[in-house]
Amino acid sequence: MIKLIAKRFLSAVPSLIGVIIVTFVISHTLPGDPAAYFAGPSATAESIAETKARLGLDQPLPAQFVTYVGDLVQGDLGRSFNSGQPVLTDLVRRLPASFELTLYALLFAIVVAVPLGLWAAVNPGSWIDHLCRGTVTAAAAFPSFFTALVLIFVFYYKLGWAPSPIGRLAIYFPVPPTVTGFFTIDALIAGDVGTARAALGQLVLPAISLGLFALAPLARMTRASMIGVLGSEFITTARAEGLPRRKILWTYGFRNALLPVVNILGMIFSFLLGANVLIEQVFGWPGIGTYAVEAVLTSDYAAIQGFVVMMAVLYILLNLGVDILNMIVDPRVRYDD
Amino acid sequence: MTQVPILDIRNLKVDFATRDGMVHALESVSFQLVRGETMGLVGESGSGKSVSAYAVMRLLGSSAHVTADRMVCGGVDLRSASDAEVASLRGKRMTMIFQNARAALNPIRSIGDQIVDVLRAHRAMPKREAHEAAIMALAEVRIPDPKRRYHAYPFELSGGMCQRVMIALAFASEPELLIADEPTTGLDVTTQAVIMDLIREKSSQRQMSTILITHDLTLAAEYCDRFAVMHAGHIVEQGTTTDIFQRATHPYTGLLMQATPHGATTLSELAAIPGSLPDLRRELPPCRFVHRCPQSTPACAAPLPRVKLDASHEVACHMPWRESE
Ligand SMILES: Nc1ncnc2c1ncn2[C@@H]1O[C@H](COP(=O)(O)OP(=O)(O)OP(=O)(O)O)[C@@H](O)[C@H]1O
Ligand code: SF4
Ligand SMILES: [Mg+2]
Repeated sequence: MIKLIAKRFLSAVPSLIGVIIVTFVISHTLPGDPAAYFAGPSATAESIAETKARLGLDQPLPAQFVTYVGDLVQGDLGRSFNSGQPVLTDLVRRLPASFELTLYALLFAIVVAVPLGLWAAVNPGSWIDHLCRGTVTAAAAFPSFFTALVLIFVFYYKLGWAPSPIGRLAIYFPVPPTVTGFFTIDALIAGDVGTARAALGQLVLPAISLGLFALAPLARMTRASMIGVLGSEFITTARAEGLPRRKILWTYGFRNALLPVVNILGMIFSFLLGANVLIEQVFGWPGIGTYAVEAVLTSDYAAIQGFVVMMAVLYILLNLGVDILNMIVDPRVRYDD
Repeated sequence: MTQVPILDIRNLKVDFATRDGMVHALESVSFQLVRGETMGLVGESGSGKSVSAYAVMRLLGSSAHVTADRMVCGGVDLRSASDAEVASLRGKRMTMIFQNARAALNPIRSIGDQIVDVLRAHRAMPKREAHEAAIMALAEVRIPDPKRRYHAYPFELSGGMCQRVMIALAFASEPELLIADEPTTGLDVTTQAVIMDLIREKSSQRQMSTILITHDLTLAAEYCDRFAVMHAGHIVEQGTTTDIFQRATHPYTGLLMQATPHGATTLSELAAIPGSLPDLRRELPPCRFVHRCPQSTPACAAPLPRVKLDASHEVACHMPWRESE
C-alpha cells in the first residue's frame, strides 16, 4: 500500500515539471509590462528600465527560468508585485478560506446529489428520476455567479435570512485562533459556538452557489453507477439467495456504486477550486481565487506562477487522497501493484 | 411417482419486449420435479435454459412477460405471489448458482461476510455464531484454511474456489430446490468433477432437488436422474437418463445423441446438427425444429402433440423415432 502511494506520487512528477515550464512560458508571454506598472504612471523610460533590472526582468528568459526553478526548489515562489509579500505566504494565508468554501460546497453537492442519484437509479423512469434530471440540468445551466447573485438577492436582500455577503466573518465577530484555518472548525475548537455559527452562516450562500455546479456530474455519475451495479450478476445472486431488499440495495448495491463516485471526487474538487474564482469575487471571499484574479489583471508573474503551481500540487495531492480513499473502499486496489 | 412435486411448471410462456419486437423465448414449457431428484436441462446455446431458470426464480427483468397455467414451488403459487412473497421463497425454498462464480459474488465484500449475510437473512442468528457457521460452511465445501479464507475477496480466489463459495452460499439457506446454471463451464475437468461431486453430496444429504443446466451431456449423464431437452424455447423431449440416452425419440434429441461421441464432448463444440435456431422474434411454426428436421412432413405444420411414451418419457413431435426403427 505504501509502495502504491509512493508510485502514484512519483508518476506525478513529470506532469508537475510540465506545469512549471508551461506556466513560466505563458506568464511571460502575457501582454502587459509589470515593470511599467510598478514604476508608476509618472515613470520615465529610465526608471522603468531600472525597475526591470531590480526585478530581474532584463535577463534573458532561460536565465530567468533557471533562477525561478532554483528558488522553487527551495520553496521560494518569488515575491508578489502587488502585496510585496512572498507568494508562498500569501497563498498559505488565503488557501484555508478557499478550501473551507470548496469543502462545504462539495459537502452540499454530495448530500444532495448522491441520494438523488440513488433514488433515481432505484426507481428509473419515475417522477423522482425526472426531478433528478431536471434539477441537475437546471443547476448546471446557469453560470455560478448568476446563481450567486440570485441567491443573494432572495436570501439576503429580500428575505434577510442570510448575513451580509461580504467575507468569511462579519466584522463584529473575533477571528478564531488558527488551528486548521477553517473558521467554523477553529471557532468550535476555541469553544466559541456563536462565531462558528456566524462563520457557517457566511458560508451557506457561497457554498450553495458553488456546490450547485457539482450537482450535475455527481448526480449523473451516482445514478449511472447505481443502475450499472443493480444490473450486475452479483446483485442477481444476492436476490437469488433471498437477501432482504435493504441489504441488497445498501451493502451490495450502494457500496459498489460508490466506487466510481469516489473516483471522480478529486476531479470535482479541483473543478470547484477553479470555479471558486468567480464566487469569491461575488462574495468578497479572501481566498486564492480573488488573489489569482488580481494577479492576472496586473501581470503579477510570480503570483500567477505560484498560484498555478500550487493548484497543480493540490491536484496531485487530491488525487493521491482519492487513491487512498479508494484503497479503503475497494479491496481490489490494495493488491493492485 | 405420486409424490407431490417440489416444483410444478405447466405451459410456461415467456416473451421479452425488445426494441426489435417480441422475443418468444419460451412456449409450453412444462416439467415437474420431486424431492431428491436431479434433472438435467440441456440444449443448444439460446434454447431457453437460463430463461426457464430465471422465470422460476422470478429474476427476469421488467421486459419479460411471464404466463403459465401452473407454476408452483413448495406449495406456493408463483404466479399470484407478491414480490415480497417470492423474495421470501428465495434462498429458503429455491436458490440458484451461476456459471461465472467470480462475477456472481460481491467483489468488495469478503466471502465469509457474504455467507453470513445469507445465514442471517434466513435465521435470526447472533453475529458471532453466524461467523462460526460461515467458517463451517467454507470447510464443508472443502476450502482449505477456512478461518483465514473467511476474509478473502473473490478476486483472490481461483474460479473453482469461487464456485465452491457459491455452493456454500447457496446451501447456507438450506434450500429445497437448487438451480445450477452451468456451474462447471469454464473450469478444468478435474475441478468440474469436484464441483459436481460437491453438489451431489450436499443435495443428497438434504434430499434436495436439483436442476442442472449444462452443455456437457456426458457430465450430466453421470449426475442426473432425468433430462429435459430444450430447443428454441420448447422442451422437445423429457425422460429418464436411459430414455434420453438410449431411447431418444425426438429427431433433435436423436441427432444430439448421435453427435455426442463417447468420451467428453460438450454441446457447444458440436456443429453436427445442421441449421441454427430460428429467429425467436418472428412468427414461429408449431414445431420450431421444422426447418432443421430431416423427418419433417407436411403434417408437422399442425399444432404439436405431446406424446406420452410411458410414465416418465414424453416427446413433442408428430413423427417421433421409434425404438424398432
Ligand atoms: N432480457 C432478454 N431480452 C430479450 N431476449 C432475451 C432476454 N434474455 C434472453 N433472451 C433470449 O431468450 C433466448 C434464450 O436465452 P437463454 O439465455 O435462456 O439461453 P440458454 O439456453 O441459457 O443459452 P446458453 O447455453 O448460451 O446459456 C435467447 O434467444 C435470448 O436471446
Ligand atoms: S414435429 Fe415434425 S418437424 Fe418437428 S421434430 Fe417432429 S418430425 Fe421434425
Ligand atoms: Mg444460459
